[in-house]
Amino acid sequence: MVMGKKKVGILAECVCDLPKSTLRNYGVDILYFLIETESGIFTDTDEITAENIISHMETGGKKSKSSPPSPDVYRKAFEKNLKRYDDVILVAISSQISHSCDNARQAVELMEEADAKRVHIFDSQHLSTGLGFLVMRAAELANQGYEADKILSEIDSLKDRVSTSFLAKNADYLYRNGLVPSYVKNICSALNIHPVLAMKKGKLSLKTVIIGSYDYACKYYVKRTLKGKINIDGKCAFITHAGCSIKTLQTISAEVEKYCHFENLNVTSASATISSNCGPGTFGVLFVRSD
Amino acid sequence: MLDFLKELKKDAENTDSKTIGLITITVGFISLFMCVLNIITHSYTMVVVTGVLSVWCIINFFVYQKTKSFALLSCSTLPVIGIMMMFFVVTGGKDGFSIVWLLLVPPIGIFFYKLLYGGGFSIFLGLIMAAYMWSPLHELGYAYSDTYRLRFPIVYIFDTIVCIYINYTLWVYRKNQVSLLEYAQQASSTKSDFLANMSHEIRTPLNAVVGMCELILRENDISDTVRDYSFNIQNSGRSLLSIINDILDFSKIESGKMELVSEEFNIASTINDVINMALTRKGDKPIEIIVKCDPDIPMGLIGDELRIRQVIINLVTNAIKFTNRGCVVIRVSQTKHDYGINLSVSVSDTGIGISPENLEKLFNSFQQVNTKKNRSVEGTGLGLAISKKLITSMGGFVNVSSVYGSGSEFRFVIPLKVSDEKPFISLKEPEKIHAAFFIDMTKFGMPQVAKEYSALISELQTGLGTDFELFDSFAALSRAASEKKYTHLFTGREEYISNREFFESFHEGTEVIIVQDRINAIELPPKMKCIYKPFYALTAASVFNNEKLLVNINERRNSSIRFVAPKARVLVVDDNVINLKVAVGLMRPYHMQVLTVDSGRAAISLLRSKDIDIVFMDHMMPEMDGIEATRAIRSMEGSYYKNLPIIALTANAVNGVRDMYIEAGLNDFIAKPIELSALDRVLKTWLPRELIKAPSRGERTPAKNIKKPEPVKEKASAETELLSTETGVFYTGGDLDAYNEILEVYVRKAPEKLEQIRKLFEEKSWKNYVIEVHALKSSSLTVGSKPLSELAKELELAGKAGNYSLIEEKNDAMLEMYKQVAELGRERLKLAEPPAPEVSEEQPKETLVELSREKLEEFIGSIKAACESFDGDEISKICAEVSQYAVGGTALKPFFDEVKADADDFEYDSAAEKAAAISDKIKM
Repeated sequence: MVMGKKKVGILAECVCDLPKSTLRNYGVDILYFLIETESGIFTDTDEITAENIISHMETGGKKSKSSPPSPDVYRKAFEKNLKRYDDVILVAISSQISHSCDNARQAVELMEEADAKRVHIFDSQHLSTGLGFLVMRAAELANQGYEADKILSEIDSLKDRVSTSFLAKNADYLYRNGLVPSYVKNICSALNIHPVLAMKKGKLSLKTVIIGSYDYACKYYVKRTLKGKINIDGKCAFITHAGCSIKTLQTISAEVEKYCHFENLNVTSASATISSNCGPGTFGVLFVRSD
Repeated sequence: MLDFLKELKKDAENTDSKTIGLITITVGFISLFMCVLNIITHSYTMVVVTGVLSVWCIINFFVYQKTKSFALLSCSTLPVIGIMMMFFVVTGGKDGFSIVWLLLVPPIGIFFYKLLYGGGFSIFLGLIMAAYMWSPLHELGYAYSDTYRLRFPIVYIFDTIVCIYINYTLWVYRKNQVSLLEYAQQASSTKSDFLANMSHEIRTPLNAVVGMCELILRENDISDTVRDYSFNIQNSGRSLLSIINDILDFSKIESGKMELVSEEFNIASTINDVINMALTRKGDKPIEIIVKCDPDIPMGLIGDELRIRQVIINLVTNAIKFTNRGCVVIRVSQTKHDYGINLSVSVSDTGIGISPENLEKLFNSFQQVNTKKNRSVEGTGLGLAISKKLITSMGGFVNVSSVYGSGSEFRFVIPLKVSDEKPFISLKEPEKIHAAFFIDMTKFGMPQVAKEYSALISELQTGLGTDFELFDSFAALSRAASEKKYTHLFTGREEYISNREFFESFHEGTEVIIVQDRINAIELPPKMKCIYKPFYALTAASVFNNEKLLVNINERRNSSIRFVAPKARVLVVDDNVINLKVAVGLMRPYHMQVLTVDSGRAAISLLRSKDIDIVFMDHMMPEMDGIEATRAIRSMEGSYYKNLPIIALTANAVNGVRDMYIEAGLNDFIAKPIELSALDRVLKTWLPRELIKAPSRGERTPAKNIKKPEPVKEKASAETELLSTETGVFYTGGDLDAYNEILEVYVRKAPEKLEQIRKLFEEKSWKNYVIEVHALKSSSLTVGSKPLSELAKELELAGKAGNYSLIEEKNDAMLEMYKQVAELGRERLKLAEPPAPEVSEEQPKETLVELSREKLEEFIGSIKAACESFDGDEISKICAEVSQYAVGGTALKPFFDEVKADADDFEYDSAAEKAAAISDKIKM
C-alpha cells in the first residue's frame, strides 16, 4: 500500500496522550498545551506532568488552568512543516472541549493564502488517546504517502468508531473545572458515586454512574465497557490514566484481559492538561470499534 | 507522618459529612417512596406528610452540602421528623402500624445527628409520646390496644437507652483515637525536634574532629601517612557534616521553618559551581560529564540561588553515584514568559535506572530505593525529598523518568523573575567563526554518549549562531580541512595523540584546542591550547571570544615553577567552599599566604584589619556581590584601598565582560574554573614586583639542596642547632626574605607570648596553655628552632594527657629556651630591644583603649570567618587582641573570653553566634 514519498505532515497536540517515543516513531510533531498555576505558566509534558499537577492540587493548590497553544505557536508549527511537506494536518482535540481549533484557525488566517490552503485542521471530536487513535492513523497514512484529502476522509470515518470513555474517581475535579454542576458533585460525594464520562458528538458528557467503592467501580466500568461487545477491534487499546497506582493499573489490565484480548494493550499516563480536568484516579479504556 | 495524620483527620471528616448527607437524602427518598405508595393506596393525609418530609429532607441535603452546618441541619430536620412521627402516633398511620417507624428515630437521631442533638431529640420525643400514650389524651387519636399503648413507650425508651449506650461507647473509642492521633502528632513533632537537636549536638564534636584535622594538616613535621589519614578523616567529617545538614534542612522543611530568599544571581556561576562539584564527585570514574545550556538564559535572575544549586548538586551527585559507565548529562534551559522565565534543569544518566514500583516512592523521605542493589551507595535518602520540597516551595515541579537498567532522568522547573535580560553567553562576532570538532565516537563504548556529544555540538551551532561542524572520522575531517579554513579546531586527547602531525600542522588563523580531562592531561606544544572537560557553551564561548581562558599545558607547567611570592598576602572571596578549596589548592605552588572568606562583607572586614596584596573576588555572592564589595572597598579612605588589585572570579563569558568589571572598579578577571595559566598571568601582572621571586630549588627538592643564605652568619654550632636558618628557610618556602620576615614577627611577638604562657602556667589554665604551647611548637619549627619546637611539643602532649607535673618541671626550661631563641633571632635581624609588654590583663578598665564600633564589627567578622574555617588559633589570637579594647567604656574582654572558651571547646557555631551577638549586647 506504499504510495510514495511522504507528502503530508501530521501535527498533534499533547492532549492526545501518546508517549513521545510513539509520536517520534510516527514522525508526528507535537504541540503543547499550557497550564497556569499560582506560581507560573508551565508547558504540559515538558515542564509539568500529570503527577505534578495532581500533587499540586492535592496539596492545596487552587489554580490549574489549562490553555491551548497560542495562534502564533500554531503558525510557526504549520510553517515549519510546510517547508517539508505539501500539506499539513492538525489533528486537534474536540472543539467543544478546547479552543485549540479556534487558535489553529486564527493561525491559518495569519498565514499567506497559498500556505493557508495547505493547512487542514481536523476537529477530532475526541480527546486523550481517543484522539491518539486518529493521530496514529493519520500518521500511518501520511507515512504511506497518501494525499491530505484521503487521510482526512479516513480519519473522519474512523472518529465515529473510536470509543472514548473514562471513569472518574469522584466529581470534584469535574466540578472544579466546570464540567459538572455543584449538586452533581455533592451527590457523587455523598453517595460514593463515580461518574462515567464518554465522548458523544464532540462533547464529554455523563454517560452513567457507578455506585460503590472505587475498586468495585473500576472493575464494573471495565466490565460494562467491554463485556459482550463483539465489534471491538482487537488490535490496539489504551488504558489511559491520571495518577493511578501501579496496583490499580495492574487490576484494570487484568480485568480488560478478562473480557477482551487486545494485541497491543498500552497503559499510558494522561497529560497534565487532561489530568487537571479529571482529577486523580481517573482512567479510561479506549479502543476502536470494528464496524 | 504529619501529612498522613492530616489526611486521616480529613478522611474522618469527609466520612462524617458523607454519612450525614447519605442519611438525609435516604430519608428523603424513603419518604418519597412512601408518598408514592400512599398515593396508590389513596391515603392522602399520609401523602402530604411523607411528601413534605421528602421535600424537606432533599432541601436540607443540599443546604447541608452547601453550608456544612450541622446545627442548621439538625435544627431544621429533626423537628420535622418529630412532628411527622407524632402525627403517626396520633393517627396510627396505616392500621396503627406507622408507630413502628418511631423505633427508627433513636438510632437515626443518635448515630447520625450526634449524641447531643439526636439523643436529646429522641428522649424529648419519647417523653411526649409516653405522655400521650399514658394519659387520657390518647383517646383523642387512634385507638391502640392497652397492651400496645402501655408497652410501646417502654420499648422505645429501651431502644433509646441501647442507642445512647452504643453511641457513648463509640464516642469514648473515638476520643481515644483522637488522643492517639494527637499523641502520634506530638511524637512526630518530637521526632523533628529530636532530629534537629541531635544534628546540632553531633555537629559540635564533628566540628572538633574536622578542626583538629585542620590543625594536624597544618603541621609541618608529620609523615605523609599521617597527612593522608588526617585528610581522609577531614573529608569523611565533612561528608558527615553535609549529611547532618541534610537532616537539619529536612527538619526545617517539615516544621515549615525553611525560608527561601529572593536575590539576584547569575546562572553561569551556578553552573560553574555544579561542574566543579561534579568533577570532584566523578573522580576517576569512567563517565563523561556533558553539560548543555541554553546561551539565551538571562544574565540576571532572581531567586534562591543557594537552594537551586543545592538541588542541582543533589541530582548530579545521585546521577554520578548510580552511574558506573556512560555519561551524566546536565541540561539547563529556559522558556520565556511575561513574569520572567521558567528555568528547567534536567540531569540524566546511563546508570542503573529505577523500577516503576520504586519510582512511586522515590521522593519519600528516608528512602533509598532498591537497597539491595545500592548497598554500596551511601546516603540518607533525604536528598530527593528535600529537593522536591525545595522546588515545590519555589513554585516549581520535579519529575523523574527512568528505564530500569538503562538510566534515569530527573528534571525540575521553577519560575524565576529576571533582573537582566541580556543572555548570559554571547559571542563577539559569531559569523566569523568556523569551528570543527573531531571526536572519535567509538572511544566512548556506549552509543548514548556519542549521541549526546553529537547533540551538544548541534545545539552549540544553533545556540551560539556559529558555523560548528562535528566530525566523527579523521578522514572526513582532513578532507574538510583541506577544502575549508576553520578558525577553531577542537579535538579530544586521544584523537590528538593518534593524529599529532595533522593537528600540529595548523598555523596562523586556525587555533587548535585539545579538550581533555584534568586527570592525565598531556603536555602540548606551545602553540596549541587546551581546555578541560566538560566542553560546553560557556567554555566554547570563552574560546571564541578569545577571553584568555585557555590553558596551554606547557605554559601551565612552566608557570608553576616560574615564580613564587611567599610574602604576598592573597585574599580569596567566594561563597562556595569547593571553589575556595580549588583556589587555595591552585595558589599553593606560589607559596603565597592565602586567606579565604565566604562573603563580600567578611572581605571588607578583613581588609580593614589586614594588609592584603591582591584580592580574588567572586562575582555572584549572596547578600553583597563581588561588585558591591569592590565598590565598598574602593570607597574606603586611603590610597591603599583605591589601588588594591581586585580580580574578579567569574563564570561569565559574555562579550565585553572585562569592560564591565573594570568599570565597576575591579582590575582584571579570571574565568572559573580557574586555570593556572590565567592565574599565573594575573599574579604576574598585579602582584607588586618586589613580592615576586624566582623559585628556589628547595620548594620542590630536599632541604639539603637549599641554597645557603649568605647574609646570616651563625655564630656557633650550639646556636645553629637552637635556631637554624637553613631549617627555617626550608619551612618558610625556601625564600630567605620570607624567612626573615617571619622570624621578625616571631621575635617581636616573643615577649608578649612569653608573658602569656607564664600567666597561663601560673593560673594553671591548662587548656589555654596547651593551645599556646601548640602554637609555639609550630612557630618555632617554622623559624628553624627544632629543640624549642620539640620541647613545646612535649609539653603540649603532657598537657593533653593531663601530665601537669611534667609541665611544672619543664615549663621554665622551655620559657628560657624561648627567650634565647628570640634573643638569637633579634641579634641576627639586628633588631632593637623588645618593646614593653602591651596591655596586660590586670590593666584597669579606665586605661583600656577605646575602639570604634566599625573596628569592633571588623573583629567580629574576622572571628566569624575563622569559625567557618575551624581555625581555633586564629580565634584565640583575635580574642586576645580585641580584649585590650573597650567600646563606649565597656571592656570587651569578658565577651570575647566567652567566644574563646567556646572555640576552645570546638563549639565553633556557638562561638560565631556569640561573636555576632556582642555588638548588640554592647549597644544595650
